[in-house]
Amino acid sequence: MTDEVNARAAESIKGGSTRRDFLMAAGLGAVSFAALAGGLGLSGCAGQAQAAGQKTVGGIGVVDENLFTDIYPVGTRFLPVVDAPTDMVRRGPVAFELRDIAPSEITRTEECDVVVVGAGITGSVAGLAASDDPATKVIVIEKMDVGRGIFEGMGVIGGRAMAEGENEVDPAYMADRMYHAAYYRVPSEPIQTWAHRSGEAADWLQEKFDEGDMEITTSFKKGNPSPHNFDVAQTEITFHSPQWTDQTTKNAGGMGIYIVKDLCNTLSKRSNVELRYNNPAVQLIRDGEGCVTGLIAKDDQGYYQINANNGVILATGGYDANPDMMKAWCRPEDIANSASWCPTLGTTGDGHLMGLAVGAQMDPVPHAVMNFNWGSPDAFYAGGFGISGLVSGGIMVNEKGRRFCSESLPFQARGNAISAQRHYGADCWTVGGTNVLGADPAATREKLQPFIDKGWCVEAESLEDLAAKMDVPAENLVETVERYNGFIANQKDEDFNRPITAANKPVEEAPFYAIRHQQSILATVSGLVVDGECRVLDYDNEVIPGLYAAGCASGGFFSGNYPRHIFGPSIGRCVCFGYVSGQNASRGL
Amino acid sequence: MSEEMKNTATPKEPTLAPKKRRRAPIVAAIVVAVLVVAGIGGWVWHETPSFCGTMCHDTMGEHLANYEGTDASGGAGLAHLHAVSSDATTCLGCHEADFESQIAELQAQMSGNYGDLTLGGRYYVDNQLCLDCHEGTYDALAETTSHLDPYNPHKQPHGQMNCNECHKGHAAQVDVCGQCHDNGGQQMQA
Repeated sequence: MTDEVNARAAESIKGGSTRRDFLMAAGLGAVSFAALAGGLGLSGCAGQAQAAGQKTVGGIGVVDENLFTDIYPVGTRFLPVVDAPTDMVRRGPVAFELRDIAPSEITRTEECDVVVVGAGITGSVAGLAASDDPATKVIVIEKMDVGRGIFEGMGVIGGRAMAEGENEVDPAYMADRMYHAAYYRVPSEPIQTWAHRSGEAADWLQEKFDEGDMEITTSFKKGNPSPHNFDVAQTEITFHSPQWTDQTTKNAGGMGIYIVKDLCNTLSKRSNVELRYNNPAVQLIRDGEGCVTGLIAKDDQGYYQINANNGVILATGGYDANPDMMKAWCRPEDIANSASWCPTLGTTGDGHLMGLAVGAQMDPVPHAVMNFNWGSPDAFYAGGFGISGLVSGGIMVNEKGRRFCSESLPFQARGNAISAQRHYGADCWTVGGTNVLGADPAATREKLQPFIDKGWCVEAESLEDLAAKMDVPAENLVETVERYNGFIANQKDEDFNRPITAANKPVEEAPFYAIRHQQSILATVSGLVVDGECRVLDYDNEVIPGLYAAGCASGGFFSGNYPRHIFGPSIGRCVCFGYVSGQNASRGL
Repeated sequence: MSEEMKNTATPKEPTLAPKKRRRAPIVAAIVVAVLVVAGIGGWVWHETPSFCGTMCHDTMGEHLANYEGTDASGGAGLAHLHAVSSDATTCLGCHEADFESQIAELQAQMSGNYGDLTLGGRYYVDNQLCLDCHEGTYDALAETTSHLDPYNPHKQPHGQMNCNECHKGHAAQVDVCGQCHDNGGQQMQA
């Protein structure tokens, strides 16, 4: 069966009617190609209303679910999930095209050694690593008008900055923490690569910063000890630049934008690199021998082909800006009442789809998302809003006015606990008294006003009145607060085992406040399964020659959840795998 | 949940997906009949807002009311603003469609599959459609708001956004910048 699958996958990219035959042969039924394009938002949708497979799914209109099952190079079956509406409706431009692009549509063909798809943090790193050897000709194409990244640190084990910070972490211990976080539902190699080579990658990255213009430096940042008894070591590397304003460093993820900008600036200066924006990759080319030999891209002149002697690196990121794909491959409860934290529209899963279309293996669904708490009904409560005293200092309660978890859980666990409440956490709140509003409660109160105006925050002189405004049973809320205040007094949370510290305050002092508190999603983190050298695997775990994936387009690293109790494995993976894939592609490994 | 999504017919609570009824032959016949009766007059009419609002009154009525400024919000969003502009832009000015897709929508409407209006793909309007009337390019547009630097929403570190992220067609405008950080005290006008 497996040889057959490979043969089909290899055939599928030959063009003509082969792709169609492949889908038919795979027993997946006739597919309307116009409908497929429509499902991706690629066409004007003429006459597709009744097309097979199209249906309306919660919150996002018509979705062609066939695409997200038929795209697999192996047979698929359904696991039923509740069709809950989603709040994740931000829609970026999908570049991937599942259709036969006729040779007559190709306006030109270019030659190079390595093509990198995407110029975010992963792609810019991969492009630099691939072009470190001046003999390697590299083309980096980015779909959007700039490459983007939203982050402020990366997870690293070893290397110079960690040594200087006297933070020595055993790679085997950290690898085990990562496997454990995935409940061992991941292949072994990718995590080994991060555990043993992220320090080397971080040292290399500093060299690239030294080559750049932004004067960026890195250092170990000591964080809080493991939250809520999650046993883990410190892995955070943070970034500095004398050119950054307070606004840049204080905005959540603000540094990442400028780090990508600096790396792309360096990339653009190298004579063996071409960096092109507004150039989406739409399809990979896999030859009869099964090698990925290049891709079809698009610019304002139309489609063009790039032949890559050594290979293609997919660095397209996740797919949080593709609601159809989120619906297809993510847990309903993860995306139901989640707000989006990331203003990046390029993350539409093009790499996932391009890889699958040529026979690549993808992480099993449901996929892991990076989900934190702090979500507001529309976005998230940023630290810069000046209301963290309430948002982080209060107690979390559900629609019954009851606490439902330790407020000290890691971010992803708080998010999960919120979504486990009624209607996927649509009616969760954080409640606090004036005593949590900080040193200047009047100033914090003023900053809460916009949220009160929106109806997301309510204020009352008594807990009973507050409960009425929250639409939760008053007796429950009063009892919950009394009980929690008792835990603080006795230094023991008898319900959820929250480690009580001096920073934890009881809910006291009127007026009282409650603010709506939901889950937020920063990224999707599952993707194409790779080996330890970032080479994409097929469903027999055989390398697809010439195809690499890194960052959020790659997989085999997380399962179930993004483990935020470990610092920075996502950007750590982006940088480490960008570095490893770039280096390997340059060498033709 | 965003304002626009509240306007869909989809209930908030989890429900079973609506069962599809296969009435395609009947529907097709009705469509043909409608076309014959409508004739040449229909060709002219189908390009007007009242066509959209009347033929699909169940689901489009509120959007037409919003366009006309007679809904509860008093025409919040760009639709009404465009309606009363000197160009008197119609639905099809922003929601590009050909006759064929309109027929498909009508067919979906009459078969009871209100959700299958294929409007999902046109929920976001392509930026170039906006730019065709507004300064031609994103960079040129950014020039017109350069007085807002360093908080120019059309020239910011995240790169170009989809216009509809902030500028909603049939709902109150959304200040996306201000959702995550200080925006210099700006307020969206319309």
